[in-house]
Amino acid sequence: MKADTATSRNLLTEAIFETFEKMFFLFLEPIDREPEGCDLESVVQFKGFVEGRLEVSLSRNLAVAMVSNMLSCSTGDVTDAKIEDCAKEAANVICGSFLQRLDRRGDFNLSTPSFRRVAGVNRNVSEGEGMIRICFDSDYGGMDVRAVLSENRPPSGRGPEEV
Amino acid sequence: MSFNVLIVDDSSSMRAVIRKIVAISGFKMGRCYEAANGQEALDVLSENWVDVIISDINMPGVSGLDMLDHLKADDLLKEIPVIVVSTEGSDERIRSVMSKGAKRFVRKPFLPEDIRKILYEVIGVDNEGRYCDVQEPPDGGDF
Repeated sequence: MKADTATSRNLLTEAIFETFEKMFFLFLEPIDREPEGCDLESVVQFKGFVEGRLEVSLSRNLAVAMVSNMLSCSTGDVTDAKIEDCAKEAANVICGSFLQRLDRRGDFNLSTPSFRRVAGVNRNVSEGEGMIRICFDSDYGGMDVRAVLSENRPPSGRGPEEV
Repeated sequence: MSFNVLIVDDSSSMRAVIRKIVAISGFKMGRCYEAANGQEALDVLSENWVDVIISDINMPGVSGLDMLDHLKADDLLKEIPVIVVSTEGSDERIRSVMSKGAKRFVRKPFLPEDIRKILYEVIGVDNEGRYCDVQEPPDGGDF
């Protein structure tokens, strides 16, 4: 039995909100349209009780705000290297938090995140079986998150809150 | 007295954040060493005394789990408390990490307070950053 798309979507949204509030001190607003200028893309693949990948596409302005807030530095001190590192870490943490919410007892392994610049890409992907897509806006720019899932076994249920 | 800290994470941003949290927490930090994976951490440990290690698990090369195995096999290094900070926080993974000798596990994303509280617990200081084993003499200490 697969976790239904609506449940997975809610859990992914929770993971994104938590990551952005705790790590980057930013608040996002879900939107129904594809945000513009999301040219920075980080991807994490995962294997375990569920397999797939998480893709996080960010606008440069949002990425700059993330780095600035995370490192408490001025936007002038934000370099491309810091943006790449921060974008990869964001995808990594969102992915881990999402999978944890899907099944607290389920073990999984994450790949090392990859990063690339993808200017002008029309993603033209829609949500469906095994695919979740959530778009966000913020004071600094947009973000487009896509999760591709193929479940290997039923979730074992949510376990204790903390060990 | 201050304590030397080793931060192990392949993300330089995450190392910077953890270093800042430790610095502002009131924890009496001496030297702060950084390493991008387990091998670099072991290299640091071969040349420097470290009082507490804060480490990620999933890193290229020698992972955090491999590093824990090395520490556990070394009579001197096995006494250094290790706090693991990771995204991979399933119950099974936490059990595995703790069985390898880690003292605490913190899931990312975390709040600064989370790291600060655990650091205090592991080192043995109270919430104000005072060392629990330091006791004032009842008469004020005058001879």
